[in-house]
Amino acid sequence: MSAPAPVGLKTIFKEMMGTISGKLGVAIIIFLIILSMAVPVYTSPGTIKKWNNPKAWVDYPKCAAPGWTDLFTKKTYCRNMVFNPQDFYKYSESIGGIYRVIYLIGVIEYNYDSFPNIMDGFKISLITNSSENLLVNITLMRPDDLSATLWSDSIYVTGQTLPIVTELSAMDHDIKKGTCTFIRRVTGENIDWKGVIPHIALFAKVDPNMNDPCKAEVLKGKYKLLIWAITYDPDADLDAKFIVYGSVYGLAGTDARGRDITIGILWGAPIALAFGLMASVILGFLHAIFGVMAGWFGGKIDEVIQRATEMLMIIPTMPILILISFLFRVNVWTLIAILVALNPLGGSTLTIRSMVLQIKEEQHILAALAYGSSNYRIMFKHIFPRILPYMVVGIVMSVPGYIFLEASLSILGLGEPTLPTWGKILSDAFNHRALYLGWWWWILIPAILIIITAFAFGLLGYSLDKIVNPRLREI
Amino acid sequence: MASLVRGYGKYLAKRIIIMATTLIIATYLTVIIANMGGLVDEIVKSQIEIEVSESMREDPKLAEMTKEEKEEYKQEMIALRLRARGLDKPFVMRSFYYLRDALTLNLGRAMFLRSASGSNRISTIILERLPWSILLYTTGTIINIIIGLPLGLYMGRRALSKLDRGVSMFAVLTASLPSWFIGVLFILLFYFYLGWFPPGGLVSTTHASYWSLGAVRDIAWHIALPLMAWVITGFGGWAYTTRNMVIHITHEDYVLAARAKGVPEGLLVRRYILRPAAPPIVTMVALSLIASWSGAIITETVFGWPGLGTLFWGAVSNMDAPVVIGLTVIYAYLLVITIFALNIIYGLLDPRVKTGAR
Repeated sequence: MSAPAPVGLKTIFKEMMGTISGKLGVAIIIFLIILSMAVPVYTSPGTIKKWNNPKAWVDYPKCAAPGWTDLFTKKTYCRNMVFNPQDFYKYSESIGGIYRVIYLIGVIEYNYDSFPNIMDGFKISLITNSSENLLVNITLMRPDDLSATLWSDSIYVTGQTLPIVTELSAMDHDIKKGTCTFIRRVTGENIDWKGVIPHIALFAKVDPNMNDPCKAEVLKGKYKLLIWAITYDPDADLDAKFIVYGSVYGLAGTDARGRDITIGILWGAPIALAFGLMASVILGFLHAIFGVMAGWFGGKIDEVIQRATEMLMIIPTMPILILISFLFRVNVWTLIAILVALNPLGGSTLTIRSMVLQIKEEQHILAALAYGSSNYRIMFKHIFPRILPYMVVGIVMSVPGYIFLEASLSILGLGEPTLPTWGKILSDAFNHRALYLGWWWWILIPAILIIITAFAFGLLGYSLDKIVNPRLREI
Repeated sequence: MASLVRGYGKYLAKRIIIMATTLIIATYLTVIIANMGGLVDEIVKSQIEIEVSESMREDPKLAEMTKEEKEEYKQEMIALRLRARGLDKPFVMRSFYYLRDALTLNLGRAMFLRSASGSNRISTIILERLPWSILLYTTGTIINIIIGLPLGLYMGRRALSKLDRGVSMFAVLTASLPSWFIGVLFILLFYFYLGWFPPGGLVSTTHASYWSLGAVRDIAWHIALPLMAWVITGFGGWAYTTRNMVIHITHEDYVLAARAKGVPEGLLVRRYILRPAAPPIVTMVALSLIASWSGAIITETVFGWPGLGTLFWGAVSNMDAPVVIGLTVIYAYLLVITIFALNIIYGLLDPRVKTGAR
């Protein structure tokens, strides 16, 4: 290895920006930085705390594809629709001060070409503060003037704390039975209630196959959800919340817990950049410092550093890392500490050492020695700047390795326990069998981001390498 | 001559010391970590306690004993079992026993894992998995070398051609790409969307023998995806490294001199470029072939390939310390011996080594 010519980082950066790969790399990294800065814009401050909290995601559809899937098919997929209590028209009347009748009407414009989310369908929540039992009836009125009674039952209030929330999801037995009655009435088919999929049949055109997700056709138009209740508490109140879970959601879809993958992806960007850069910069500097020390001091120090480097390079890092991460759940920052402990010396230590051996013989170093510069002054003032370009190449080129390392530990379930990292999203997808069920967005979106981040640093490293090691480009 | 022999002897002695130290450090590190600094033993101890109380409850002979007698008997039984497993001594001491056993390749028995034939002997478990790791990764590495080396030589001779630029870029981009990562994308494409290959495993039906035509075809069908993932992420690096090496050597003064004096191009390549490039390439080949034996932990896990990688992961996730130590020590031995053999050969070939010059 020949001694690198003295070049400044500025020159190198300028030259790098002259190459296509350099420009592309820088562009991608700027894009990632913008993505990282978009986190506070797209998400509210508490978002990261709710990432692992299932309750925070109940209003989100599960395993919904990204919204832009529409662009590639001629269909408009069902969007997530949330009807809050204030979205319902409410009419309530006290009759004779003895009992109260409450009507709630929600209007749903359903103009999509697909059914609601096949996994969740819809959910109706009833919230009441009544001190007496309520008799409630929920009816869906369809655009074709048919109506289906979904639920007709009582809410018992005795012994419960107010307000009482009753949640009815599409696949509840009562709703299935109600839908089954509806199908029998309109088609005359005698089907079993257990096989009914309410969110398909209720939104389908009347047809013997209206319960079959593959054959049924969507009935578009204005649906009305009519809820009426009657109770012996004249001051009672009833509110409803209605969610039609979309079959598509947001920019990146949702995962099996209903989490918005866009948020995870955005959060993953700064983590990936910070982890990759921190690990590579810390280890790069450490390797270089030991290389300079070995080259400059020579003798015993050189011998010890060289032998220790050889040993550390033989010790299998990955299995030990897996072992440690399994036994002690480590977060990404501890992971860096472990990497430093396992690899304080590396291949670049030896390369830099041999460079220093040559720089050491140069005249300006001899001159510095002659007028009495200290060892450390020479090492940091005269030698370090010379090896800096080489070191920067090494650091840039090692970033992708660390980003993939994080993903590798994540896929085994050993990754960061609390923060959403790209690797963790990917491993969640893998563990939920997204690969075999075709939930492509859950796999592809984090995978593509990991790849383009790694590629950005790879491209930068490639163009830097050509500048710093000029032999590689001329022939 | 005598000084040469002495120089070589000194060189070898130094190597042996370094390699032995490396082996001991790596193994001891694994012993400590795999046993969680003794925590795994605590788990085993509590298991033994449970076992003893279970067996005592079922024992009719003990029904007439008083409570104190029972307790005494229980402690005795536990102490006996602990001694039988060597758990009565402090962990620090035992860690050295484990180290000794590992270094003498006395691998012992697994705590939880079993081989397919039901044995808990670690050597049996490892030997059962080894062929599959070799089949996949050694084949893959050989394919990488067969594609990568000639490609690299060709690129080095024609630097900056379109092919060179393309493959260099590809190599830089795939250099750090783990094969499991490509594997995941391959499963999505080739299994889910195209349905050409199975998503993982070794065979889809049971075969009487792995040597029948049907079994071979079945395995070949299953190996396709992981093998492809391994090759796609691997050969670029080989080509790029070889290319850079060739370019470096081409710029050496003696090559320029040889070219100036009119050495024919073919001879120049063979004698002046390939010959000095051979030792580092041989090192690379030897080390990656050895490394391929240990399989790839994550790729095997993703594809459910029953090699040493999945064994390692199984051992880690079951906290089966003896298996983890066994796998690590075997790999460390193989690696150290290979490096040592390469050192001996280079010491013989390189005159600088013998004189102690650098």
